[in-house]
Amino acid sequence: MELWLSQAENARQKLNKKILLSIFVEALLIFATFGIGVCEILHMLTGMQISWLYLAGAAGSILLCLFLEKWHRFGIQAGAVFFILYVGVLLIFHATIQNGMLGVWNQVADMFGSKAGIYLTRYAVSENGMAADQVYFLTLMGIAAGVIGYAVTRLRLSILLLLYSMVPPVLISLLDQNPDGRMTVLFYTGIFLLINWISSSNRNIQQEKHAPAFAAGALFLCIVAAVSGGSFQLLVPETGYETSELVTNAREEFRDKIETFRFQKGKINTLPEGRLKETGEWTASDETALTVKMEVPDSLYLRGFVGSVYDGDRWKTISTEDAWKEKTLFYWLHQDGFYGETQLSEVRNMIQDDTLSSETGTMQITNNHADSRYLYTPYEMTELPEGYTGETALTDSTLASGGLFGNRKYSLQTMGNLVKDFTTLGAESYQMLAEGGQMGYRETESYYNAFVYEQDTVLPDSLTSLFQKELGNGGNREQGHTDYYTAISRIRAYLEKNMTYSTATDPFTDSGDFVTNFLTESKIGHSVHYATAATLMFRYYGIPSRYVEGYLITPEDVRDKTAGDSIEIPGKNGHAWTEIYMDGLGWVPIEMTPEYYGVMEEPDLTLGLEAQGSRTAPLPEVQDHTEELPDIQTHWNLKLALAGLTRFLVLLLLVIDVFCILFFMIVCGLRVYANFRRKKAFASKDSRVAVRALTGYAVQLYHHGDYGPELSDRYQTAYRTGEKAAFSRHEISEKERKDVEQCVAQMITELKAKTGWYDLWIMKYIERLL
Amino acid sequence: MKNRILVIIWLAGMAVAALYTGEYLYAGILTVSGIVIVLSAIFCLLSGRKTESCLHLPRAVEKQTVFQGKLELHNRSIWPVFYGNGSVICRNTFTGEEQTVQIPFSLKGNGTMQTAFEGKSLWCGCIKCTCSNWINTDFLQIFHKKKSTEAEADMVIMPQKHILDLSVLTQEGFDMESFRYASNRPGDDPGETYDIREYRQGDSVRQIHWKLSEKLDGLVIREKSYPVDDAVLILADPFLKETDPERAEAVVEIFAALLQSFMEKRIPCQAGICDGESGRFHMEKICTTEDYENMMYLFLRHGGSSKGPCVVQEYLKLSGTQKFSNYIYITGEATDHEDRYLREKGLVLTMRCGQKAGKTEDEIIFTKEQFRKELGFRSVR
Repeated sequence: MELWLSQAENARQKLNKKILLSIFVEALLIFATFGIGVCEILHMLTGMQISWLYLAGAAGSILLCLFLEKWHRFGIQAGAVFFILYVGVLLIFHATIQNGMLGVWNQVADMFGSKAGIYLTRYAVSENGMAADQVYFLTLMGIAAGVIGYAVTRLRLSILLLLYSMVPPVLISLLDQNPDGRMTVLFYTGIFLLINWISSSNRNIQQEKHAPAFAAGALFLCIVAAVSGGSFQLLVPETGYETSELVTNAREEFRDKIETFRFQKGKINTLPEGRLKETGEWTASDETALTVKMEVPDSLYLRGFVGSVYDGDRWKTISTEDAWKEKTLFYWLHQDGFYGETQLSEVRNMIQDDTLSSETGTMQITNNHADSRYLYTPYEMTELPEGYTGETALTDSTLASGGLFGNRKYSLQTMGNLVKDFTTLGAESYQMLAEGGQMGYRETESYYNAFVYEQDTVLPDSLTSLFQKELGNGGNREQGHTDYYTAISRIRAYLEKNMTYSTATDPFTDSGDFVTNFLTESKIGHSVHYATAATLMFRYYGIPSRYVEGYLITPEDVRDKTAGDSIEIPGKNGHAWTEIYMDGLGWVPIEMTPEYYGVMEEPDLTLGLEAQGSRTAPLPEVQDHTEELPDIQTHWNLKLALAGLTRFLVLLLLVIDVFCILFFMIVCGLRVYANFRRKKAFASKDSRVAVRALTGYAVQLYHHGDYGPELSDRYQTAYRTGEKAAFSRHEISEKERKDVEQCVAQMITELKAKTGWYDLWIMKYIERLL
Repeated sequence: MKNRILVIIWLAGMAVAALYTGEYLYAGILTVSGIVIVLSAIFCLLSGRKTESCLHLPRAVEKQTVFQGKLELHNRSIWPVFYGNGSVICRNTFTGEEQTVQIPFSLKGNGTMQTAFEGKSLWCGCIKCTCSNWINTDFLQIFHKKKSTEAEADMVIMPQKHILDLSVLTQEGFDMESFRYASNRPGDDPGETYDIREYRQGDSVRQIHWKLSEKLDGLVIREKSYPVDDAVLILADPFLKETDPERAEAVVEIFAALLQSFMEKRIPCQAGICDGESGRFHMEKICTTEDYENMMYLFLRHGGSSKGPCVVQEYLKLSGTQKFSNYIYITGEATDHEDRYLREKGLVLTMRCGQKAGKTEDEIIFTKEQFRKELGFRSVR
């Protein structure tokens, strides 16, 4: 006996009210999801108002797809005509559309660069008629979005829709953009209902039959959502929610947990990553934080987190927006071979002095348990690790680790310890530059110098007053900084006299300023407190300075080590220190925590530092370089636009390839599995089981093909044998089994012979029938 | 289950978005989603409580032809049913085969809907369709509640029309001149002479045919005839110890072909079948096509539900009301010996299904695979 749902109504081809309602409901949902949704995402990505033509294009293409689907007679042909028209328009107006696309892309790149610190390649575009070009591009994109939405709905990709629903929150957290509330609510209502619509549309059910019930349910759901949403707004007002401490703390806590999951393998010390208000007792374990192998073993400072912005609560890296503004500066500095991270070794190479370390060697670092957010690099680095060159949102202060969980194994080129001789190095470089040598370096350094002074001398007014009271007159910072030696001496003396070193400190969680509390209230602290206070005090004296967290490879660690030996750096070698920028020389670490004096080798501060009593005079070009940028930009674009586009296309192709390979593997895997299960059932020792399976398979084959009368008769006989196997307790003879097997084999042969390649492919890989 | 997983992913995604972004919007969406789900669960509990269902099937169809059934549902409540799924189970009481068709539907508040389903049976018999429960699902399809209902209908699948050669059954092939008296046994009706024979000791004096005795110069006895209502009573018992669609169908087809054959030859006969459920015995004269169809309907409709062979026993309980000179007993069981009770009543021809075809004076064994050939089936045009 066979039973099936009556398909009589399917044969009807005329549009009726139910079909129209079904089309309308489906179109509305796809439009809300892919029309409004993509529109909102584009708005967040570019910051521009998306033209209504985009929405019209999306709505039109969705309705077209749905109507063509119902037009059984010529739907496919009409669809092909529309597709050819679309491609034709793309080809005819490709220049305009390409210009519009690149214009939109550049806006996306600007948004990512300034808000997320993700630097994408920008392309040269023609600004003439850009607005119109973008509208043309967005209209075509709307059409494409509609068709993609239709395809996703038909392919029932609910999981993809769920992933798609996560795009706006990702963009919000990355770009810090607030989406339009109403549009986003419409988008999420649409996506929620579309997932439900896809789930409710079973292949055996005519969608149009369910459309009225679905429409009624959707209306009910919208009313419930509106009422409950309104009640929620009354109970929890938006302003109250966003300012709620509970929400803020929960968010911070959640983000911290995610960051911890990504970058930390247990807690080996209490370095706070610049979060001063969370700094409590200093604890550290002997567990290995880093394993280092050096060709030239030497004691080094390895800097990780570098804080250049202080807000009273924490140290932060430079803001992504400020960094984006300086992108061009760093591009040209890098083009000239100048990197802030390698400046010390660059200066060393310019100086003829055999007493200073000059040997360059490879350093391999394995991050065992330290935070993997940053790469830990020495001040003496001569070459950045592979893949870390180029402009970043950290403006050469340090290197952010790549990958989802950070890079835990990398190598770099470095010299031996130059920090212990930085006074000598500074004096000699000053002398060399003063004599007019190395003009190229002098010029590039002057640009960087100007940036550093602008960025890393910022001091809150409240602290200026405090330092004036505590340290005395710091001089006029507009005219230049206090000489390094005086500044270092005064700060050290002040901290040694007034502060007490202790690892047992309580976290300062009040709303006041961290340093003010340390200097005036608690007066007890460890390296984090000392480094923070000293960094800001250097700024008070007009010297650019930053707060650094990292690890120390001490002379004790490298004693008796030879080239290639593994040096295990324990968690207790984690440390916070201050680095100051010495004009012409670069960033050098200064130990300001009394407890750590002598841990690392230190130069004689009384030599060489007094010579630089004022800031190295900036070159006149500092003021001019921004004016030259437009020409330079054009030149750069011409050179790199094609290369960037190629990279983008290659990436796109790669993604498509990966998708295709995965799809192919899954489809093949499922087919192999289905065949395996089928053959296993066919080969069953129990003839009844085997015949049942064979007959079931024969029934499927029978419904997929058109067979001759002889084979149809054989099929009927086989079917009877199958029914016998299923419903009687009688044994199935070998002959009967063989007959059924032969019937199935013959059906397969005939089916393959009579079926077209496309249907055969569907049968093989989608329905997994053959 | 898939919908539940999707909703869980949705809620988890919104919770992560609300936490990670700290956006009011996502907190709102999360809250509203939760409320919608709770209300959806409540709705699922409330809806579909006052539904009535009804199944419609045609009375009879021929085998291998497509039939159409309908499930009709009435919602007496104001709460609509967004998604329902009814299971209609169809069982052939003769062959034991069973199939289920899932019927998805949706019902407006105080509304009615009809959903059609189709089917085809390769075996004849009686198909009983029942819809004893359906599943009510909420709009989001995450909550399900089983609802009971009572709807059933049945339909018989008639065999194709065949006749068989009656001479295969007996030498005479029931081709007799008179069907009012038994040709094979004496009776007590003085109106018709059954036989003339010589006197034997013990014969009643009343039986002596005096005139003939005088002419023949010896005592001659006249035996009276046995009056019968019809020449043949055909009894068919479809009971099988083990489900076997082929044997069950063989019994039905032979029974149908016999009735057709007697009808065609205009030999008055009657057929008897037993309602297995109620135990009632039906016996009818088969003269017209209508008689044939009624009898086949009764046989297929009621015969399949017996729990043991019953037709002979039930007939014997009624014996005395009508008399037959011949009995044909059709059974699918090789070990069914109910026919022995009939032999006291007259000549019995038993047709039984066996492993190997064979024929004796009072028994024909047919095989389920080749019975058409063995009994000389011919299609009725």
